[in-house]
Amino acid sequence: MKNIAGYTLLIVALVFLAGCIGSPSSQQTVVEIAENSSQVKVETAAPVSYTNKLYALEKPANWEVEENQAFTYFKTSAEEDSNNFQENVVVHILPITSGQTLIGFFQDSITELMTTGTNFTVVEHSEASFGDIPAYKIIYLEGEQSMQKKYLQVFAVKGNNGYVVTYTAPPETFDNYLPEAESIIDSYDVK
Amino acid sequence: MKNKVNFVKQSAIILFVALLVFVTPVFGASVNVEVQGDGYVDSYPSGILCGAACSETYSSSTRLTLTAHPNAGATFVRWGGCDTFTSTTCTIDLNIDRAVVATFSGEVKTEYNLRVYRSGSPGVVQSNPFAIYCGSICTYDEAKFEAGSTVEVIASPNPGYVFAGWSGDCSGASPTCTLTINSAKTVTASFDTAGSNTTGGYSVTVQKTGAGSGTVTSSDRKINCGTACSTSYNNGDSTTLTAVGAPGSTFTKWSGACTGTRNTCTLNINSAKTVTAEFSSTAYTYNLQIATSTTPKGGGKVVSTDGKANCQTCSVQFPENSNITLTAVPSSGAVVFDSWAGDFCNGLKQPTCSFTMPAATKSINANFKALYNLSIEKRGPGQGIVKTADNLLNCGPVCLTTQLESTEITLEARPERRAIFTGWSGSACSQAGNSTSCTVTFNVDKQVVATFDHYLLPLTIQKTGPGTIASEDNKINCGAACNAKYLLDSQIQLKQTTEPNSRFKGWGGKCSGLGETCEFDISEGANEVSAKFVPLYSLSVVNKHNRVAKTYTGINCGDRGSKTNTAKNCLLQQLEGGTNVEIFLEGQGSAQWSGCDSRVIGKCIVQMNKNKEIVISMPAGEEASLVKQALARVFPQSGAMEYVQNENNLPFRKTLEDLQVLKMGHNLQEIESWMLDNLSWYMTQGGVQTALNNWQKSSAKQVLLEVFASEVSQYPTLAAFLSDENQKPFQHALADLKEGRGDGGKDGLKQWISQSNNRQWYFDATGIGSHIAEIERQLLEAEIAAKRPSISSISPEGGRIGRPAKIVGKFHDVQLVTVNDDAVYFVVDSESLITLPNVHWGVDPQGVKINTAGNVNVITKWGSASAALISPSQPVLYNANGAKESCFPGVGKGCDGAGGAVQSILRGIGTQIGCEDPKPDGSKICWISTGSIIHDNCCVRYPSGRQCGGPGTDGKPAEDNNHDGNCDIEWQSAVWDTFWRKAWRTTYFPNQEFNLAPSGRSLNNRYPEGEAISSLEYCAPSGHELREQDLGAFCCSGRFSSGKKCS
Repeated sequence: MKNIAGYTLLIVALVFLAGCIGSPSSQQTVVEIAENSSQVKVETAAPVSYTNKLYALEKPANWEVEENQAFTYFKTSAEEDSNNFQENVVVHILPITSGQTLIGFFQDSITELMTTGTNFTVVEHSEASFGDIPAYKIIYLEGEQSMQKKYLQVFAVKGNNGYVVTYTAPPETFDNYLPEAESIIDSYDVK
Repeated sequence: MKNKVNFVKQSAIILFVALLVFVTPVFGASVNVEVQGDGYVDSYPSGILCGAACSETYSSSTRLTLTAHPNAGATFVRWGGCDTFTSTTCTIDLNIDRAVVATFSGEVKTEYNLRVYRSGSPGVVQSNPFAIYCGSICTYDEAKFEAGSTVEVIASPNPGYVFAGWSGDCSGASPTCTLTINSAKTVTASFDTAGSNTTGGYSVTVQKTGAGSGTVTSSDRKINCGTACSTSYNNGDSTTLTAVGAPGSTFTKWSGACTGTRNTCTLNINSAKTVTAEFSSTAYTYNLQIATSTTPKGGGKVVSTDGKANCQTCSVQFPENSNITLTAVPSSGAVVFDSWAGDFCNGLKQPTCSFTMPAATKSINANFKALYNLSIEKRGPGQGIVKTADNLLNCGPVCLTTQLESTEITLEARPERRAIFTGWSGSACSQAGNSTSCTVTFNVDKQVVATFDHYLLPLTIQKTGPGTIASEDNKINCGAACNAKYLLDSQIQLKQTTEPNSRFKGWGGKCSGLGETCEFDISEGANEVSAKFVPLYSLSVVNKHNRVAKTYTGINCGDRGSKTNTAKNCLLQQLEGGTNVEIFLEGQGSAQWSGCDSRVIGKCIVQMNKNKEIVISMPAGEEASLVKQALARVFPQSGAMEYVQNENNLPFRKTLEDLQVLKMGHNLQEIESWMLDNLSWYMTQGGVQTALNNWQKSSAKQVLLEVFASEVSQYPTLAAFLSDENQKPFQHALADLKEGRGDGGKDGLKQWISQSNNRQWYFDATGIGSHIAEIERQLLEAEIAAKRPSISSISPEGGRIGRPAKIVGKFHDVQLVTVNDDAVYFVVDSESLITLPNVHWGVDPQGVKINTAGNVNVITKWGSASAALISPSQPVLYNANGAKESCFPGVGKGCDGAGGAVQSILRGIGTQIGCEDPKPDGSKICWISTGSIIHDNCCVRYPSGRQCGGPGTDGKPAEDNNHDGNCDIEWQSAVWDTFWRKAWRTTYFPNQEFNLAPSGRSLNNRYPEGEAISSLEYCAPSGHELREQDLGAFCCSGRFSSGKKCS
């Protein structure tokens, strides 16, 4: 266990370094993935506003909303993709330990994925923000080979809540909806 | 002269032809035309206008052309009886009576024949309508009349005669008989003589009529009427009457006993006669040219009221100032009169034209136009009307309009509200495509079809998900049939049916809500209905973790294998497809998830697009650790714990497998309990007992090795003895271990045996001491064996004859070296090499028996070894002078014998000496003899001997006078062999090397013992004679057969 924690810190440190000084290589990685992904033309619908007590955002008009107790899903229009997975942006707000920092929240989450996830691979990492709230953005791959997904995940902390906005898609269709997903994430405003 | 002859000939021919023309009698031939069907036939020359006049007599040889004219709506079909015909024209040459049949389409009107006989006195019988005319010389005439028609038969007696009466189908004495033609009729008109005079005289009476006046006179002047208008003539008399109009009058015509318009008439008196002369008040007549136009459907004729004109085209004379009324009569119903043209009534559209004939020739045309039919039909399922813009024509399903040729009308197709006009068909319309207008020009009969279809509007069902949308009329059954067309305003009822494991989520478009059915009307706008079904799926959680799995929607699922688990709600059903479910574990720690579609912050997200099963497991390391802990608690013994915790051994693998298939829960208590319940398996099949035993054995061995480590380090093979389970040390140590000596266990045993008295006991009583003694003895024997001397070869130093001998072998602690039992000086170069500096290998002056085995003996501390001195490790190639022999043992100096000049001389006298010139491959053939062999062997050892070529006493090559004394006898031997020609030939090859080492197998040396054995390489062939009796050993066979010849 001690070794795993150490390994996690090492990886996170390396990721930070890559994010700080290696941005050209990170961008290069993104370009390669884009070239390898399925080229599907996605119609962009005009955005509409979505708001609740905790946050507001803008989503494409043709994206469906599904609200569960702790999760809110913004789903692409139900298309019969070959992978049968409906790409989505999910907003998850959860209470965090009192005093926990953004980096701690982020590290705990990534550590859990690294120790229990399958084929967890970091693609890109950088700093981000939700409005004026600092955030971290990470793009990674995780999952068994046939069910592997690609994630764009942004972490933020405000008060006693952790805010996690995640765009999930199969790697081959990730880029198809990436502009819409990034638009949703960029419009995300914590109240 | 010649021209004269020709003229006579031409004149004769002309005369002959003229005679033929004028002399050939003129015979009549009749033609009878029968018309079948709806049409008529006329002729050229005229005479036939059949139906009315179907028979006529023409001059023989007349070429008659008949033309068939179908009536409106009919067509001409065929001719029968023609010589030639084209389309509607038939041509016949009238040499004999002919019959022609013209067949038209259409109804064949029934006709009956009326035959009229004339009998008795002169008189005329004719019909009205005019078709029959039977004059005075006529026996009968006949014609066909339409069934049911009425025909008047009129009998007119010639002047002086009277009509006597009818017989046949007419009766009575009235000159007019009216017949209804309802069957074939035959009538006979009988005439008789009027005023018959029995004295033989007959009266002749002249009457005058008309508007004019004049006189009639007879040639015999008996009549001058004027005033004498009647007289009597005898039967058989003849007189000619002449009518002359008075000024201002004009004789017009005769009637009664005279006929015609000529003003003279000859009467043959055979009965009482009455002659009427008609005078008109106009004295002059003028031609009126009458013409008519024709159309594809026929033309017509012009008829004058006075009967003078009745023709299509003709010229008729009318008196000046006479009042003329012409009537244009169309030939059939398919033709109508259009207008007059010409000098009268020009442009008049009325068919009757009246005018007064002027004093000039005039012309008039009657123009006819054809009537064409347009048939209009409406087809198709849709409703609509076809009409003209002026509403004069408004058709029902089928209508017909007839218009004058060149008339143009425009039809309009107007569909009703729920219909659509799809277009015109037929060739009548000038417009193309589906224009609703159709302009028709009447130039032939035409047909046009206007097609109307239903005005159908599409209804589209957009269905998603597993369900069916069906319409009440079954036109929609979506799934498969999601589109249909309906009439505008149709009322539609749709019904949704869900499939098993699915749910209806609502209507859209023209429908709304969640009802089972939906009703609406088809309208002009978009008729679209959407219906959404979603499949229902189940979510199953298999929890192989000691933490409880939960969802926000009801899953509360604990460790499935645990006997104490109470959270057993692990299944969610009827989850709508497309929704997401989050699964998470209570408490802290990690887990392995399988089946998640995505993972977000420790939660497994499942997308419900099919039935899903999520398996939650402990991380492999955590699960293995749990198993190891439990195993350690059950098997804490030394030797057992290490065994059971090894992940490659059965206890661990089996326990982990059982845990993963949920035979127990993921907690120490249940795992431990499971192992205790199966303890027997662990001890036996699981190998724990064996592991314990092995551990004890291993411990006993290890303790022994540790306690006697110093002895083992000195005698390594002692370790095997101590570890040998069949030896006493191990057996006693194992027993002491099982006894729990010391503090028990491995450490206790070590402590026990390490005690000095116990250690000594083990050393003495278990055979460790005696085993060490045996080891020491074996070591000594091994050393002796290893150091026992041996000789592998004895060679001259540098491979050169005469150099010190080098003994190669194995030598430890050398004490003495002898050669033939005589001690010699030796130098031990190494444990494998001894040098004998004073022994000149191959040239030993002490007479060493070099061919005797064992004559060199090396004596050491570990034994002795012997070998023949001449036992080189490889061939010796260099002589004592250090040179290789290139032609050993050829005759003479090297291979050159006595040298170039001498050799040449000797060869000249047949001496066998030297070598021949080299062959192309470099080989050469040289003479060889016993003496040369002996001499060369000597020179190998003594290069300075006679003729050996080595350094002589004066430093020059040793020859006869400067040699060191050696090889003199040998040289003589070679000389004598040459002299006595005892040499044989042997082939030498380039770069051929010669082993110079002396041996008992050859005669390469002069040692007495060594020359007794023949050489296979340098020997005399069979049959070759040698010089001396004692040289038999030089034969290849080793002996002579007879005398000194080799066998």
